[in-house]
Amino acid sequence: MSNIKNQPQDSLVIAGKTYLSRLLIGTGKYKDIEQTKLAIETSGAQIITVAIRRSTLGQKTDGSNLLDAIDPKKYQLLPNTAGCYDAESAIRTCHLARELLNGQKLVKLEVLGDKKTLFPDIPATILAAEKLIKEDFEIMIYTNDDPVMAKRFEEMGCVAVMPLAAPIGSGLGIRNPYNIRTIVENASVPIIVDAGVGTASDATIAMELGCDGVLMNTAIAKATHPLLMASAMRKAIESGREAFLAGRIAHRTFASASSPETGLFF
Amino acid sequence: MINITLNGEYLVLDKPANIVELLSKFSISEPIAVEINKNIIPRRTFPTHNIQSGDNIEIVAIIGGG
Repeated sequence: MSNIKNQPQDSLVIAGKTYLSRLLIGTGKYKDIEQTKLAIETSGAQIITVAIRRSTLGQKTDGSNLLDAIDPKKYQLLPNTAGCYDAESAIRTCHLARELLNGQKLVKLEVLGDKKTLFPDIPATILAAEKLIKEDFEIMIYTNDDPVMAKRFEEMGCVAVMPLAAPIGSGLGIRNPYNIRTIVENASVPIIVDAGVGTASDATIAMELGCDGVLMNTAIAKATHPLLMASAMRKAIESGREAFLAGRIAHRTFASASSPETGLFF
Repeated sequence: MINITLNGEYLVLDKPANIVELLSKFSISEPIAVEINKNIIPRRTFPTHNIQSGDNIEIVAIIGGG
C-alpha cells in the first residue's frame, strides 16, 4: 500500500480477485456485532471469515444480524468449516455455505484433528479438499507448517495455502519461521499465515518472511482494546510488507560501522 | 402427525407442512439454508417441498467465526 512514485500497486490476488489489504480477519469472539463491525473497519481488512451454525430460529434476543453489519457487497465473506473434525462435516458445511452465499465458491477449509491444539487432521483435509475441488470450490486451505504438504495442497488445486503459525487462539506467534519461509519460497499460490498470531510483531514477522497475508481473529477480538489492536495490526501488516519489498540487510556476525572511518581528527 | 427432528430437537407437526410453512412458525430474521437428511433443499423449492415424518432438518445461518 505504499505511495512511492512509480511503484506498481502491490495487491493480493486470490482466485482471480484483487485485494489491497493483506490483513484478513475473523468475526468471532467479539463483545457484540457493533464491535465486530468497528474492528473490521479499523483493520482495513477486505476478506472476513464467518462460520456456519444452526440458526437460533428467532430465539436470539438482541435482534442484530452479522450480515446487517458486514455488507457482503463491500467485503469478501470467507465461510470457514470451523468445528469440523471429519471430511463429511466439512464438505456439508461448504455446501451449505455455497447455498447461503448464492453460489460462492470461495471457502476456507479446515478439518481439525485434535481438540487441545486444534491442529489440522491432514488426511481428512486431503479427502475433503479432493472432493470439494472436483465440485469446483475455490479452497483456501488450513494446514500445518509442513512445506511438503503445503506444496501438495497447491498442486491439488487449492487457491491459497494457510499454514498455522501456532495453535488457534494461542497468541504464540510464528513457531517455526524457517518452515514458513520455505513454504513461501516453494509457493506459486498465496501463502496466508493463519492461526496463532498474538500481537503486531507476529504479523510483521509473517510479512517479512514473504507471506502474502495474515488471517487473525483472537489477537484482535480478545485484546484489551480490540479497536486499537485492529489499528496496530493494519500497520503491522503494511510495515512488514514494505520491509519485505524493501529488501532487508543481511545478518552479519560482526559490526559494520555506520560512520566513515576516514577523516578522523583524533 | 409429522414427527421430525429440527436443529437437534424433536418436533411434532400437527398437520402436513412445506418448508415455507415450517419457517413461518419461527421469527427468523437472517438468511438461512435448509438441509433435510443431509441434502440441501434449494430455496426455490421451499413452497413445494413437503416435510415427511422422520425428516432430520437442519436450518443454518452465517455467524461470526474465526
